[in-house]
Amino acid sequence: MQLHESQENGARIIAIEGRLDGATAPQLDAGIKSFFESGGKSLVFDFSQLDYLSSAGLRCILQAVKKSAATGGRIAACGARPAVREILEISGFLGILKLCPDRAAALSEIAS
Amino acid sequence: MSSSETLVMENNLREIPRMAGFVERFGETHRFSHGDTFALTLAIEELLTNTVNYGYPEGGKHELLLELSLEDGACRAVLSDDGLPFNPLDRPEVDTSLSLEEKPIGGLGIHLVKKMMTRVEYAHRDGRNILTLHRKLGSEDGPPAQAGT
Repeated sequence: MQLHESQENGARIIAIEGRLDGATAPQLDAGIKSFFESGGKSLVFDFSQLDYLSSAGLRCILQAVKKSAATGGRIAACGARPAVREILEISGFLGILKLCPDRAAALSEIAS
Repeated sequence: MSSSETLVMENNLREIPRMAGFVERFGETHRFSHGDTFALTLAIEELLTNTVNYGYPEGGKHELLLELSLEDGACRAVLSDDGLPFNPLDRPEVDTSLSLEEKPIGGLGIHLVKKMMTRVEYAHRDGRNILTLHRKLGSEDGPPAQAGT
């Protein structure tokens, strides 16, 4: 798994490439932790290059959503492929994480 | 052509990529859809993670076995370990409709296993936990193909 972090319109974008599983989730956890510790609030997860997601990854995402809500920030996601979208849906995550078609939509979602 | 393959793993989360590669190769050999390979990998990872995290409170190195085979239009995965007897199917159902504030962190793994597999069975035999998963093949992404399709 590779994380690609960038900054756009005042928001952090974390693009996750590859497999987010029990072996790689700690790496995302560390990235999210340092983002919030450095005062970050709003975040976009770009899932367009995410091949695989298990409950270990869902746990990281949920922690990020909770943390962001607690600091008054907003989180959106974009680009989930069908298999990843299914996992988010079956887990009830579509109710807590807005899934947008692309980055631009996700950025305007957290800005609005 | 043999349609049964076995992978021997250690009780360590570092085995996840090797397990995923093993399932992927089995799926390629037998022309699984992307969704079928994804779902089987996911279910096996969730159960493997449970065993590694909770099965061996005293630690030590243990052997976990994974056997994949084909059975009547379905893939069967048998995962066994010699950890503490534990039936993950006994875990209470998670409520996926809970709000953000109430949503617990964790507990989703077994829910995903049940949703993504056609059938899941647990047995404890000869000192081993034995979990048998079946997924009817032929579905694209998401839950398994329905019987008769």
